[in-house]
Amino acid sequence: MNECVLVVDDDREIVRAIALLLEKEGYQVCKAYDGMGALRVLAEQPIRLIIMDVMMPKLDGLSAMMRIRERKNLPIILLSAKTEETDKVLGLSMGADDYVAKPFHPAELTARVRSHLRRYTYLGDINARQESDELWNGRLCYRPGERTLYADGEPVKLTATETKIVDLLMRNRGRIFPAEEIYERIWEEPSFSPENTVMVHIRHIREKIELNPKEPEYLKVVWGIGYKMEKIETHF
Amino acid sequence: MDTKWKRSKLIFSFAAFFLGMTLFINSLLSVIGIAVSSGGAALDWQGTYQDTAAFRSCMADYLEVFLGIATGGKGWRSYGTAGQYGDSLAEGSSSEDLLAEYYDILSGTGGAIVQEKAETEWEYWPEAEALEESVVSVPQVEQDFQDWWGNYHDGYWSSSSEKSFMREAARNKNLRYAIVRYNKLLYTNIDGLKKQTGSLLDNLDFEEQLSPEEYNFILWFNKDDDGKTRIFRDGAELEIYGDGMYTPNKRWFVPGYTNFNVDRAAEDTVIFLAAAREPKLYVSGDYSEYGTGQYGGRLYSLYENQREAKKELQRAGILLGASLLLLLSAFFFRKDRRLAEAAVGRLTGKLWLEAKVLLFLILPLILGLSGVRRVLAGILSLLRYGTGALDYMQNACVSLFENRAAVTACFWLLYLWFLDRKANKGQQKKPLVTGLLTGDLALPVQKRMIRRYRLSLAVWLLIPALCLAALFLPARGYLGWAFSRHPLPFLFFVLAYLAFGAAGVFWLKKNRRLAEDLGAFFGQVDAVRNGDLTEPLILPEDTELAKVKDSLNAIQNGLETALQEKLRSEQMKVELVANVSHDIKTPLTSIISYVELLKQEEELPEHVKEFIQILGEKSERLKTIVQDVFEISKAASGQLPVEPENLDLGKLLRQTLADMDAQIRQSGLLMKVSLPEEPVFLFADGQRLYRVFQNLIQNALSYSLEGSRVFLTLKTEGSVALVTIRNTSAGELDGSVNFSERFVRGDASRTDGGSGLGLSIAKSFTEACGGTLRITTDADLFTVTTAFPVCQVSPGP
Repeated sequence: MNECVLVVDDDREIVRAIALLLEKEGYQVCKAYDGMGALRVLAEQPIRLIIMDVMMPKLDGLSAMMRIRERKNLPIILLSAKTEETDKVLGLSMGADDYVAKPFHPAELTARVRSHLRRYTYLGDINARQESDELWNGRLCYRPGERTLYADGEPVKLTATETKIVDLLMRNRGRIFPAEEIYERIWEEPSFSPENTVMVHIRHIREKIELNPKEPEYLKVVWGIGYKMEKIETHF
Repeated sequence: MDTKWKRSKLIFSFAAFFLGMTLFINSLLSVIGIAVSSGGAALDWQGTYQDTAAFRSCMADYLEVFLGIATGGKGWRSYGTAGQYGDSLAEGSSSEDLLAEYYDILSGTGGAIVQEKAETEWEYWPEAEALEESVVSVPQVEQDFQDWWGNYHDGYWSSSSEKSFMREAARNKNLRYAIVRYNKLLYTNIDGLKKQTGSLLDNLDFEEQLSPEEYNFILWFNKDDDGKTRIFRDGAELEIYGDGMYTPNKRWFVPGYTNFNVDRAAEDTVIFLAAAREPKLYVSGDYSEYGTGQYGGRLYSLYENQREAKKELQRAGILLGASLLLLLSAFFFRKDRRLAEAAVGRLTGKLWLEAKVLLFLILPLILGLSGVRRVLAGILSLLRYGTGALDYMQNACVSLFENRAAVTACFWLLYLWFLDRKANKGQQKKPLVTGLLTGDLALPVQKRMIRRYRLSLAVWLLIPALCLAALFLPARGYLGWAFSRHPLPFLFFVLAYLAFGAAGVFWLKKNRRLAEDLGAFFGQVDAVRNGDLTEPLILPEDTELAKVKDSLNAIQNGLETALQEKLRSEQMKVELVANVSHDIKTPLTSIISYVELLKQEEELPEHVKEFIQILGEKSERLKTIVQDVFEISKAASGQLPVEPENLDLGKLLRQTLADMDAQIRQSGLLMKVSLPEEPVFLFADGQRLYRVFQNLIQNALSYSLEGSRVFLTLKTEGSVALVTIRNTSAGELDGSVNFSERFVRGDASRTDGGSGLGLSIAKSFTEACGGTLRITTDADLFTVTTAFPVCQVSPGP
């Protein structure tokens, strides 16, 4: 469990705070204060995950990430005070695995670190024994045969109804389902004002699978239309 | 193709109706005219000219005249000295004069009733009117007159022209006569009897001398020495006297009634008259005396009139039939015709009232003032003289009906008036006068100016033209006279007039250019007002508006610069906010992280833990404020990205309510929701709308009176979807506060998790989605109304 996480930020207090938070979770933490430092540490230590600020002196986060990506395929979480959608898209497209906006919630950051690390190790195993009937979506994996959903390789405990909803949505990733359709398919009876019922279950599932249930990445509401499981690429 | 066919159907139906109606009126009028003028005889298709009243009176006249000749009545003698055979023609005396004398003469011999008749008829002149208006021409009447006049003249008082008379009389073979007195044959033009003229007759067998084929009408007077008249037609004797009393409506005005006897002199006279079945025109060449002459007599003209009338009637009948056919076809296409009529009505609706009034004023003039006057006079005399004036009235009507074009025009004018009323109910075009004074305001300014200038120019040119005309035109030929007499002043007048006219036209052209430039100028002002700041106003180099044009362009330039600057400053503001928020976020990250670390410390006193709790809450709030400020500044500068799609607003509200279900339950407030069953589609960004309603509901939940109800309704009004959220405020509402202003809070002292930007964000996002947000307060009732344009397209799958 002593995986080493590299934290890079020009703000030393932030680096220290993150380090303290992660150490409490039981991770080893290496620190760097600019892009060049990060590359140096990376060369010396067996780093499993990098948390890196975008705006840094000497070598900024994006450039450092590109250098790292030339050699290593390890999870990189970008930190930035820029919250614009375009910044996020740019970061992800240049090879980041995740993008966390400042000011972040400490619990969310640690959850993400845990998720990425677990997937990193778990995927190594998965690659060995690839199963054909698995539905992959980002960090989620659904096995229809077992009727089980895995998040970061760990089975998620779902109720029977929740499983039915996950089954429907995972089989049709990206498709928008109106609440009526979800209700009729799951409860198999005509719907009458199904919005509340469906929303309650959606919220419960979110709490089990999302890293930050308040800003869901997977189970999304399409306002005024319905609900959908966002289709997210899985990086093996 | 289809519309073309429809169009031609319209045109056809209307043309058929128009032609048919015109023909119908005309032919009907001519039928009536002929019938009236011929006294109804023309309508008697089988009858010949001998069935007409004119023929009867003609024969009665002949009888009278010959009786006069035979008995040598006084009137003849006195008249005889005045008139001369042939000369009366040459002098061209009017038929009225001739007839006046004719009646004078008759009154001398015809007895009391004749006298009376002559006098009554004298007043109305029916005979004269009939002769004047009908086909009978003046020379024809003179010819008739000549027949008997010559006879009488030559026979008794002017033996020198007896030979000439005999020639004339003999030539008019349409009427054969024999005058016998005391059994002595005085005059005759029956060929076989001429030798016996002047001798005593053994028997009166005149009929045998004539072929009954040629002469089918025989009139005998006093044949049986009883003072009665006998008339035979085609060998059959006609009933003349009836009950024996003469009344004006008896057919025959001949002696022999119990109240219409002849004097003693006439008792010894026998008159024989025979009328030809088909009178002919006789032409004689008296080259030794005065050239050719035509002799047909009155009978010939009667006969010809009758034939003409019948022919005309026939033509009119054919036309009437044709018109009925046309009207029938128009009836079959009456729907199209109605459409065409509506179109015509719309067309006339575009006419000025003045034009219409003028048209209707001209109408009586077209009708022929004389016709109208005569009809009016006829009505008056009907009132004065009773039925005796019927003849006059009849003739007046004939003359009116004969002005068929006028009647037709009248009809169509009335028809047009009717169509006009029908098509333009209550929206008649304004009179030209009001149009000139007020109605042109809808036109662009340059057109208005040009129009007014044209009008004034027209008036300017018209007034001197009228003056010139008044000066020089009263007498015909005066213009030429004025010119020849005073060429210089006249030329000066004309040239001056032309010069002024040319100057007016020149100024009109200049003014037109000015008006056009002004129009372009005003157009540019409008364009600037509508936000077009890039295109400068371009006018011709030599425009009179150069200065003001430059000013406008300068203003436009200034506005453009100011706008650019404003945009730049707006952009800078957003950048500033972005930078500031970034600079706040970095320390905030540390604060939040260390507060979290502090929270995880266990060996801390309770009050320190409480402080840490407060620090945590405040840092969270600061985080929210920073995010909200950033978003709101973007929304305010129009840089908020929106991804609109078709969505159901009702569903969105249900989802939002479901999403906030936990908060609503916690608040202890009762949510009264009224949403329509059917979807309300909008084209908007769902995520932003969710934020709008989340904020609004959040606001209601935060500031409502405990235990009160919050009302949320969605309804559509036309093409607008209205979402209303009403709640009862816990604190007192200050009506003067603009609640959607940034950082405004209902209760200034209240400190909660909100940023004070909720309503402001809701407003900005609503506007970014193309809607409007309005906040109204009424005592403690706080109402937020958002309105969005409804999208008619249903969302895709």
